[in-house]
Amino acid sequence: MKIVKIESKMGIHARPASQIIAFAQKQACEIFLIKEGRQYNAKSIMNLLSMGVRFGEEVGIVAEGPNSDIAIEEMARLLLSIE
Amino acid sequence: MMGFFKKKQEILHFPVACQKIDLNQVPDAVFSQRLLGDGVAIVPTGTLICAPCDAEVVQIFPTNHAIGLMTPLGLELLIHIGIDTVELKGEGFKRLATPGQHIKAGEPIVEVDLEYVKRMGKALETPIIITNMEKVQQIDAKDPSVLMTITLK
Repeated sequence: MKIVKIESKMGIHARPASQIIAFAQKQACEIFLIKEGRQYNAKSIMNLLSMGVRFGEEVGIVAEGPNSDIAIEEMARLLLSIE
Repeated sequence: MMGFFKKKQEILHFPVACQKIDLNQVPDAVFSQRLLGDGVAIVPTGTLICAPCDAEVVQIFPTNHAIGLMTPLGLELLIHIGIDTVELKGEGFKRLATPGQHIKAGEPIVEVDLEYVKRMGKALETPIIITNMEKVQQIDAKDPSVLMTITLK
């Protein structure tokens, strides 16, 4: 599992969530974000918004299926680029 | 036999005293371009944001400016109070319900200090959208007596 620390002051709110979901939904593989041991489907808007990720929190990324390694790297890059 | 043709519908009532507007009029592309889902928006004039229908409170965002609900027919609703209100870091918002709670239509979820939000320069447009659009056949927001009527597939 790849872990990233969220540096965005406002965490994962509606705007970045829409980018994350758009990316996740394009992937053939399944992608999940993990926070405090709970798994959230990155393709589900409500799931993602339910995570309530704040500044400084760590999020894990797991993926299963075609091109999962690339998907994880790209997801990590997206999470770290949130403003 | 009659029940066979009856469509499943969720009728959402106004969550607060407000003016109903089209999502196109919301000053944020995430909502006006329906990136997270489709629905309607309101400009609240009242301060108590209540459940538009019987629902389970899935999530209230840590800064209390956004609410996720699950309706009895399985629709996921997002109520995003104001635009860029996440930047207020919780100031001006008070949660009155708890995630996991099952509430009835009309029960309060969040209290918002409209004057504070306005003073801080944030827009009050409040999108109310369905985030699992794969379940939706049609959204009807023309009836002025309700917020919107959603017909499921």
